[in-house]
Amino acid sequence: MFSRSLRKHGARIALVAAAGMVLSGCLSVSTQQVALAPVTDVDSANELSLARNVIFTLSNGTNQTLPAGSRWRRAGAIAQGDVYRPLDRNFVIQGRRQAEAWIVAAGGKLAGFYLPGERSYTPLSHPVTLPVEMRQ
Amino acid sequence: MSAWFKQIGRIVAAAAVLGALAACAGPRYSVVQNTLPPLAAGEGRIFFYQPQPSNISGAQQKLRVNNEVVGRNKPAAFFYVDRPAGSYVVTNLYWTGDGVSFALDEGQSRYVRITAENLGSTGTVGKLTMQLAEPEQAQAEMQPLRLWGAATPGRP
Repeated sequence: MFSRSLRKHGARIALVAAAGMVLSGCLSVSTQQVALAPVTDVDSANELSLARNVIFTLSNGTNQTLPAGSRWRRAGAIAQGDVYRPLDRNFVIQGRRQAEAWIVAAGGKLAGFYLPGERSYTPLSHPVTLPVEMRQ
Repeated sequence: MSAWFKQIGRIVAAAAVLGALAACAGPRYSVVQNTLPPLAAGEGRIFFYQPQPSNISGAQQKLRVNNEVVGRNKPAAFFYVDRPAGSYVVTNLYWTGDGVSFALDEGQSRYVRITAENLGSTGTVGKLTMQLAEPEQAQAEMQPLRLWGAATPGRP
């Protein structure tokens, strides 16, 4: 009697744990390790600001928005594009973990994000146009 | 008469316990914010704070910075650690990708805001959630919180 109840309880815990793992797996974004080549010449530090909100979709299907008016400064480059870090407020993407995220721009589009805390890159499902105002 | 002495004895003992507990509580952030030690060259500071009432129960969990245990969460308390500028992942668990990640620059302070899930009327707490807070928000929320020690290196 006791062992049957124990088995039932164990099965429930295993089910909940499995569901939790599946859900957290769904929330995670795909990333790859990258090496950032930082900007060393201060004179070449370009800034950009966004003319309007930019809505994008992460690889886990989550939609987020880059706010209009946010300002970014070029921090360096990775193989996937130029990396810009925010000048005003933190920007984070929400997967399983909340990760500080810097935008990666290539060909005038937002290609993905560089995650400086993890030294990794996460691509967008579909790159979106960046409505930028460049400043030198 | 002896019952009266017993009662007095209990009151004195309770007062002693309360006094000891009060001594354990660290100073408020509002008191120490301008007297925190300066950062060493090449380092930044990571603050951990939990802006929840001190009367919520639940086990304190270990907090890890790049897998090294640096302390435990505690409601209505904060602590900080200084680390070399670089890349950091803060989590309370080894085996999931929870927590926050961020870059720490030289001379910069980062604020990890911790909240414990309330599981209802029992007052118990479950999963911890961490957020990277903006400095202005964090400093405002930390004003009433008390300093709570970080782990001693090598003795987590």
